Amino acid sequence: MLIRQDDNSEDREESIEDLTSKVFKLIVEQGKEGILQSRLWKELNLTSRDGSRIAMRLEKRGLVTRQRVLENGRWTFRLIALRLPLDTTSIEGAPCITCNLESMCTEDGSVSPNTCRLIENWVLVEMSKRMDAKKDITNTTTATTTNIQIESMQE
Amino acid sequence: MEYEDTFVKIAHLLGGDDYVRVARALLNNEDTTDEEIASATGLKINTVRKVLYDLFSKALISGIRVRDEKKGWFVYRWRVKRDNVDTFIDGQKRKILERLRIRLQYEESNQFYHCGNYSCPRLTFEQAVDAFFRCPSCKAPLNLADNSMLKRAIVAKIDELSKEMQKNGEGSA
Repeated sequence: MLIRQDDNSEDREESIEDLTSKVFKLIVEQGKEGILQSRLWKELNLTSRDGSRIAMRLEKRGLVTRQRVLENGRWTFRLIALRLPLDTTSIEGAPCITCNLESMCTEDGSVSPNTCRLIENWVLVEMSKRMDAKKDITNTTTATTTNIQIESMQE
Repeated sequence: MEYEDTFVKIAHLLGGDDYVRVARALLNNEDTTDEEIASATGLKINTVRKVLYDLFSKALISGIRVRDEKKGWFVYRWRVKRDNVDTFIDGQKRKILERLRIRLQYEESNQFYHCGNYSCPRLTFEQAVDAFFRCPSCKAPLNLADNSMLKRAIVAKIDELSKEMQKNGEGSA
C-alpha cells in the first residue's frame, strides 16, 4: 500500500514537472509582456493550487519573475520570463558529450575526429532523420493538395 | 524538452532519464543530500551518487561538506552551479563544431578505399597503395569508397550548429 502511494506521488511529481515545462513555454511565448497567472491557469485547465505551486517553482529556479498587479479590482500575478533556455537540439545524441576518450581526442592523436566512427554515424543518422522529416512534410502537403483537388472535383 | 530548464537539458544529454530525475530534484531543493535526492526520485542511492559525481566532475554542481547533526558524520549538500550551465553547453558546441570542421577537411582532402565490410577500417589512397589494395584486416580487395554522403551530412551539421550558436548569441561560430 505504501509502495503504491509512493508510486502515485512520483507520478504526480512527474506530471507537475511536465506542466512546469508547458507553463514556462507559454510564459516565454508572451515575451516581455508576460502573462497573467489567472489566464495561464485557464489556458492549461489548472487549479490555482497547482498553478501557484508551478509559478513559485519557476520563480525559485530563477526562470520567471512574478509581478503583483491589480486586474479588474483583484490582485493577481503577472509572470514574465527572465531567461530563455538555451537550444541544445543540434548536439542531441552527439557522441563527444559522453565519450570517455574525449580528453584524448586530437587531430593527429590515436583518438581523432578523422577516424571516429561514432561522430560519422551520428551525423549520418541526423541527416537521415532530417530527410525523413522532410519526406513526412512533403507527403502531408501532397495528401492535403490531393484532398483539396478531389473535393473541388466533387463540387 | 524544448522548454525545460537548461540544466535539465544537459542532464538529459549526459545520461538520460536517471540524470533528468536527479537534476530536477537538485533544482527543486537547493543544498540537498544524496539521500534526500534518492528518496525524492525513488532512485537507488548508488545511482544518485554516480550521477552527482559525474555532474560534479563537469563542474555543473558544487558540494559543501557539512556535519550531519543526528549521525555526527560528514555529508555533502549539493547545489546547481547555474553560471556554469550555459558555459558548458557553449563549450560542448564549440568542441563538436571544431571536430566536425577537422573531419570535413580530412574527408575533402583524401580519397578513401574500403573492402565493404563494416568492421574493417577505411584506408586513404597512400595507405591503400602500401597495402597493395588489399584490406589489412580481411584481405579482400579494396575499392574506391564514395564519401559524398558523409561530407553532405557533416556540412549540414556544421550549418545547424553555427546557426543555433548565432541564434543563442553564443558568439561567432
